[in-house]
Amino acid sequence: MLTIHNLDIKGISAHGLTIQPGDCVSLSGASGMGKTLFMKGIADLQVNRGEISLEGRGRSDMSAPAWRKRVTFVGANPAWWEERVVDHFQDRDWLEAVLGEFDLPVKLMEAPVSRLSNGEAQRFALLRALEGTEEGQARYFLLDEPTSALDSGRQLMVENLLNRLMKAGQIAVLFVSHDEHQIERFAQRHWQIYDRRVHEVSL
Amino acid sequence: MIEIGYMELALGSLLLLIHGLVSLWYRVGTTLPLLIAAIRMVVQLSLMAYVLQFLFKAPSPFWTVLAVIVMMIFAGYEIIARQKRRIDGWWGYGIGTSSIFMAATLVTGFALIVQVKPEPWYEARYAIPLLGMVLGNTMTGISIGLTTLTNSLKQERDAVETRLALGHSRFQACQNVVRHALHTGLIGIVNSMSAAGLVFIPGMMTGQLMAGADPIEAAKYQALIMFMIAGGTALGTTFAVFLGVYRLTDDRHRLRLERLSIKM
Repeated sequence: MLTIHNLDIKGISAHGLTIQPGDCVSLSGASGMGKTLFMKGIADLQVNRGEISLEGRGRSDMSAPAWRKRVTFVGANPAWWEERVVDHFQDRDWLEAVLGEFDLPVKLMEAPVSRLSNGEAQRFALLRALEGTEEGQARYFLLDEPTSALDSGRQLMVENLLNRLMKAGQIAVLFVSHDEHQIERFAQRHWQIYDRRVHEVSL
Repeated sequence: MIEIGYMELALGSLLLLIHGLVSLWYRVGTTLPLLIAAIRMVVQLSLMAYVLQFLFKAPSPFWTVLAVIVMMIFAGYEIIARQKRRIDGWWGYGIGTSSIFMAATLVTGFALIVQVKPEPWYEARYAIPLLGMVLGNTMTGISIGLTTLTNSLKQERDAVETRLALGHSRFQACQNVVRHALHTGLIGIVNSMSAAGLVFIPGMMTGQLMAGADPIEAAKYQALIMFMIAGGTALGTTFAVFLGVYRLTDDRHRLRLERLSIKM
């Protein structure tokens, strides 16, 4: 369980929020309200104050890289640092086995990153973050508009894979989306930012 | 050695007019900096000449070391003055100055003790010019390395943050940026070693030849200087770039680019 006891990041605050493995929580709020900032705060990517714990263990007791391997933020615009797609992955066989689930052709693995379309880049970036997920150690994903560049068919593919991992108790998801249908279909719980604070709400 | 008269030297400075005209005509924006730099150069070289004259007459470890320290402080200042994006506060000065101090002391000390072996070791005729050559080149390497580091961190910010988000450590996340910064800082000496002797005769050898030295001896000195510059630049630039990464990230492995300020 991921527990946000209290968190303050540039004036956005949150108190007493939790996510369990298997949970899928949507995060909404008007543009510029700090949705991305809040997620980056949880992942400790931006300077913030507060207390967050993972299965009872405080964030400050873990090294930042170890924390982020368990609590992983995936930004809205994928960035790359190597020439080819496959060079961003540890395990090439794993990638080859799984990319069909996102309707990505195997030959794209060797392609230069610059040749990816926005939708392909978004799906590869999601796979890159999901790599290394195993049974026994749940991971928490903070997804900033994870399917914004995808058509509805591929949105469903992404949701299906995430749903399967959530059902197996391997992951939990907090995601930002502006698509009401997706929120209704995919999320079980809802968080909303207003008055510079994150609230748990029912829709 | 043929002595140059002051009148002849003044005539030589007319060559600056060419540079100034080009700069004015195409609005390159180097006219005023050129004027200031030329005046600075003449004043600084004259000062150095007087200092050396004094040091030659009254050799003392104290005065030599003092001259060395003053040169290093200026080198540190020059590094920061050349940065468009500076690391804030004392860190900015500290990184440049400590890197150049460390690199130049080690390399020059090594050359004085092991290769040149002047008697006494603080003999200004050897210590100051050797140090000056190393300082000048190391300063350029560090300055280029830091500029590339800060520029690429700005440009590659998303990629670095993505790596951090995926659980890479700060030095892993900055790996490509560091490689790029080091390459840009170090390639200069590689290029000048490749062309030395074939395309140009480097400054030190030129000076020794004109002063009547044996060409073989002059070549040996020049090679030694090149080795010193290669070592000094590598030491100083690496140290500075890693300190830069250290300062522009924090112990929670976050990027802290707000510690950079932009010079207008």
